[in-house]
Amino acid sequence: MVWTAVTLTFIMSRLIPADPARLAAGLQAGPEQVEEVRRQLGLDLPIFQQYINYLSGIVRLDLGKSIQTRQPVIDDIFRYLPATLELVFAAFFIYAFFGILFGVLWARFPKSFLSKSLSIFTVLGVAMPVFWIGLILQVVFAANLKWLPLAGNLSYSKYQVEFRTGMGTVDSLLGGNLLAFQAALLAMVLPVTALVISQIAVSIRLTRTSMITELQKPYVKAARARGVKEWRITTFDALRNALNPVITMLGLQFGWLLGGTILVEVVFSWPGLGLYAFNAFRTFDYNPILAITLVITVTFVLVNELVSLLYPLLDPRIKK
Amino acid sequence: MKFNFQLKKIISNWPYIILGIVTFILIFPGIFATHDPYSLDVINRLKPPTSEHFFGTDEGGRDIYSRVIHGARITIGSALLIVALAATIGTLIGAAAGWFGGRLDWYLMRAVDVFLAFPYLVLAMALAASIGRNMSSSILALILVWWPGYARMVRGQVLSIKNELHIKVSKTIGTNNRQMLLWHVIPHTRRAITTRATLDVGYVIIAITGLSFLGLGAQNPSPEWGLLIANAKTYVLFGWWYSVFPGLVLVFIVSLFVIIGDRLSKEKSR
Repeated sequence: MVWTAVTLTFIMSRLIPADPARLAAGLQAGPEQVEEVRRQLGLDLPIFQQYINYLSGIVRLDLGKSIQTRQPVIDDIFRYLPATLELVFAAFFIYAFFGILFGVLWARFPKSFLSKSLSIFTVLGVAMPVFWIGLILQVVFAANLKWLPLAGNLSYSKYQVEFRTGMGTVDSLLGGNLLAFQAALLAMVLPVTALVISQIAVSIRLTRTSMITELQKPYVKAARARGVKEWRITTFDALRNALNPVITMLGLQFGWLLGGTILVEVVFSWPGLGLYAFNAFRTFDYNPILAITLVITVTFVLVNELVSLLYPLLDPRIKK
Repeated sequence: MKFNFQLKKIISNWPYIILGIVTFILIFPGIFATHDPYSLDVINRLKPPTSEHFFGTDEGGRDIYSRVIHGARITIGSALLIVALAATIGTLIGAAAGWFGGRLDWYLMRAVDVFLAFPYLVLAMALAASIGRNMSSSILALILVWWPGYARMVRGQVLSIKNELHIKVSKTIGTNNRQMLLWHVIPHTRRAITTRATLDVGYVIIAITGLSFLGLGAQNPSPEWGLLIANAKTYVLFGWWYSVFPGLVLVFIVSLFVIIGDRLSKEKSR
């Protein structure tokens, strides 16, 4: 799967109408200099040779240089990826938890006020683009109420925090700087909220459907007849069985989350992979574009592999 | 009594009625817009909503309401185009794979797997950025990432239809493959496809505005919705109306498609 992703990104890189050698050589370069750069970059070789070079480059973690920053792309990726993962994982765990919680409550108490509001919210939730949610949060909580910072993450120079991992929260804790930790957390609130709102509707709906089917099954009736307490049935018996499709969905949703993060980072000027990608898009910097696509796809594939390892834990009938 | 009955029926069909009105706006934006969406009026820049400018004005003094009305055609129109083409391509490929089976099926489905292995939005962004930053490249990129879903769904349906009695009868009387697919197999997948396509129009609107928001799709001064919101980003501190209203209209339209899609899928399962 990773190999197909690599191959497709390679094919994509050859689709680019702009001439990478010309871009790398700069605007003032004459034809000989462009040829020289083309030779240096190995772009004059036959296409199969280029493909082999590209593959071996990836094995050696060499993804070429960014034309913009003049840095090897892999260094940039390692610099920006942690900030993105910080957002993504925070959002992922929050919406997984609340999505399942609200889904269960909705299935259990279908006539309550909460359920009625959820039925409206889940339609609106899937209909709201994540970048717009981000802007609205900025308008309300940063521009008008002034409760939370408008954009950016932890300012390393202002709080004198040493750059270690690239995750604001982790770095400030490692430095033992609680004030900086608070600032890092506050900076995360709005972007994470935007991601959670845009993704949670799907997990709520799926948990609900899955729970409703489980609650109608005979074993639930049997448990009730035996006098097992209602909350025990819901949490220990039905939920455990209902979780399987939900977990598959959460794995797939991770892919949407990775796409959504690019948009959210642009809205909040969050210095992660998304903002890096945005700048690469603007300048036709093709090495970073390919590398980011590759990194995100590999992350996505890995998360789904992890998810498939979880199945046997929940359902012993599925063997490893 | 009869009138009452009909009134109830009309009210219960409200999403379709609104869809009709939206279609009318798409075809004749000029009737609904109050101003020229492109004409600049710098003296009245960034003015809050008034009875003159329902949604306020933008950084060039242009009427945001009129820009939203004119932008509907670009955003919704391109979403319809993307879904129509992706569904057609996906249906043909999926039906061919399911019907003929064998090696053709294997190759086509591996191609589908490759596309589905990528997070679709990220793949669309990378494709749109590689092909070139304009509306047509974004449309092409989204068609490329959207057809595999249809191909996989239609293939599954065709595999189950294949064993039904009417198909076997049709085979024995010597119907050829082309007629078989076009007249007997694909029509049976129509319901599932329309349901999915309706929901997808909503999701594609979100995706295409996302691409435009990143500057990969429509370019200034186009009133495309994603681009409108991207321009509004600079003025979050000075003009709440600029980002709020275009987004509200967008959310309304997308939820309309989601609600209609949900209704269609409930009718199907009934």
